[in-house]
Amino acid sequence: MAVSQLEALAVDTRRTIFGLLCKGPRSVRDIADDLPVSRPAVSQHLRVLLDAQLVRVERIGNRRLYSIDTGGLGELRAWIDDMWDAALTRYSELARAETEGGTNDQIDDHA
Amino acid sequence: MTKSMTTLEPLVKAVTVPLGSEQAFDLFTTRIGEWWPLATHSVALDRAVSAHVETYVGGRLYEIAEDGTEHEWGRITEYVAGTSIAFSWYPGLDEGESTHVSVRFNAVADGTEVTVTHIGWEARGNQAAAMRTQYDTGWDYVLGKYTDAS
Repeated sequence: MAVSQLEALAVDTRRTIFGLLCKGPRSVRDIADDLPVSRPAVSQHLRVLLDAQLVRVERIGNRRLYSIDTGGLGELRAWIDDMWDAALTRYSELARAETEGGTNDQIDDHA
Repeated sequence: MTKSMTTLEPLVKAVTVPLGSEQAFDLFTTRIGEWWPLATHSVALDRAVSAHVETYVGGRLYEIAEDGTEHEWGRITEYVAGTSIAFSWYPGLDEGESTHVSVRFNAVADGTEVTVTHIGWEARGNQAAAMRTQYDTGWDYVLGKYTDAS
């Protein structure tokens, strides 16, 4: 992907737009009405979010509706996944260190 | 990972530890500061010195930085000692931007299975992005890992 997802979300306005779209699909006009940002500026931010595969667009009649691209959020998921792997690895290492004859456990992915 | 166009799946992780459920629960909660990877996953990062869980519903999860500042991570929404704990999760952000984590402790033949379920992780993207701005080393590490895997 051209733009990293986390990089795309490092800009406050884009994070706010992404947050709005998490609540449901919206047009450029809907978004601009909710924020102190002009429509051209909203369009520009949406282009970056589209490029990063964070949002998608569909045309309904003569409206273009933007929504979260639930199929493209792998990078965000990888971030959370990484956090829990790091945390649970250390948790189980400490648990084993305190127990004689502890088994060699692995973290299982269930989803 | 299964991708879905309509719903976002919760992230679920499980690990079995050779401890009784009471001990496993205690290690996860009151002793969180002994194992949580503060240097890479906290608000103050390498300046974070300890992590704490207040062991009651409405209590806080928080870290303390070396200058004494407390950074809140979340609020306990469910607390059943030895069995389960659930909390909102918003490190470095407002409570309104929180996601939700639940942790279950189930006795199994060789100890306790600890299952973490993180819901709403897409909103966690906002948190990740916020952390990124204060987090160059860790960011490079995570991105490097991501790049290696793709």
